[in-house]
Amino acid sequence: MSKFKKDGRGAGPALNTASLPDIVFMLLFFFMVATTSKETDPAVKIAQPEGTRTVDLTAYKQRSEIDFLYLGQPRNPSRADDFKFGFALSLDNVVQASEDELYTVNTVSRWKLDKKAQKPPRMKKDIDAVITCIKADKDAPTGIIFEIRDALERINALTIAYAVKDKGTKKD
Amino acid sequence: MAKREIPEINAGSMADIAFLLLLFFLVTTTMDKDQAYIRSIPKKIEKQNNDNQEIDTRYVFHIYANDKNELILRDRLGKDMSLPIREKDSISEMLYDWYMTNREFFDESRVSATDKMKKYENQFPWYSASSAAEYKMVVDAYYLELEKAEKAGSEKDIQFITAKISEAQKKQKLIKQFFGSSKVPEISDKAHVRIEVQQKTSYDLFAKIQSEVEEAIYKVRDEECKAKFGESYGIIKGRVIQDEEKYKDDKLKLDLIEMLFPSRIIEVKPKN
Repeated sequence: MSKFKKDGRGAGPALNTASLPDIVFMLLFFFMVATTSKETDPAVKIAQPEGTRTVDLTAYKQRSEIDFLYLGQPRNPSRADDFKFGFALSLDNVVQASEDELYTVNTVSRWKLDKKAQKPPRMKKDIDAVITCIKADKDAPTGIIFEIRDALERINALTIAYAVKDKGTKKD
Repeated sequence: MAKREIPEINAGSMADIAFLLLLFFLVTTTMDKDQAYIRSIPKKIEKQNNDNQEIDTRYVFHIYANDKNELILRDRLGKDMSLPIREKDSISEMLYDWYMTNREFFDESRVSATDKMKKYENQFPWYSASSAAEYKMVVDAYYLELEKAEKAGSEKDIQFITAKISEAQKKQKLIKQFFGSSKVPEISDKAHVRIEVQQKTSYDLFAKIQSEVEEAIYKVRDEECKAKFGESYGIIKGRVIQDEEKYKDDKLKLDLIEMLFPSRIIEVKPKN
């Protein structure tokens, strides 16, 4: 006779999983609040350089006071020859997107003005108050960045940001 | 009629639905913050005044990067020297010295003769002693000029002088509020950091230069902030970026610190 006799009937009460959805919802809300939604994946490859003492752009993003612009080699390598130094631009939320979403510097001022026109009146800000953030690849030639600066200067969008990855405080 | 028992709704799949939503958000969102250096592009100046004037090398912190990604800096004697790549990290210390060395000699009347010699020997920018009363005089002088310009009716001059007046008034107000009638060391308005690159200089190096410059400016400002307000510059600045209206006092503090240690960075458009 076994000491631990099983008689089939004593399966025990089912585990109550009623609070499981609550837990998951809690997780869900945490992620909804703590993250920002990803902008369209840029059509260019970008590996950012590192830097210290950077400014966090989250506050500007929340007030939508910032436009992003990407500078890197096209993901589609066959297109590289069409651009100066082989580096193309990728812009966020263009009104009439080109087929492969690659642009030259000439389109920058048009893009900035379109973005300003698109905004609802209560959110409209001076073009100078909207930062243009350049996210460039490590190997991108600085000459192109200065061409972008020139284009922005012509339309009086005079605040610019150079994106880097923050590596924390510098060690002496 | 017999009371019918309502069957319990099976909530077992609720968790599955919630998980689905959770996974969706996990996939479509990013957690990494966007970090950057904010710079402003200088406005084209309409007014032409003594353009060809050569600026004393002591007022320029010159950083030059060529298309082979080599760095050339001007040393404390004003000579150009190339900087080995592994010493890139020392730019911020050099810039810190450039800012701070002559600062203690700002008040000519209190500087000893030997210190004065030092000031002339090194290649760092000079400071001047400013006070609220002095800036009031500057403002008054500008108002006279404005009157003249209004008579002449030159629109550009009027704009230029009005901008100068509001700048001087702002400085006067800040000095008065935080220093009363005492004198304040103010760096020469000619002093600037000059970053020169070539077309093919990599963004990596450009960002490194920006990082080093920012590091030095942060350091001088942070020291002043801690001494004067007992709080770190980064924290004050963070609050102001968050909400300028809500933290008006912090905005004033920030204005003061930025007046004492201005970040005048000139990025020269590469020609080749």
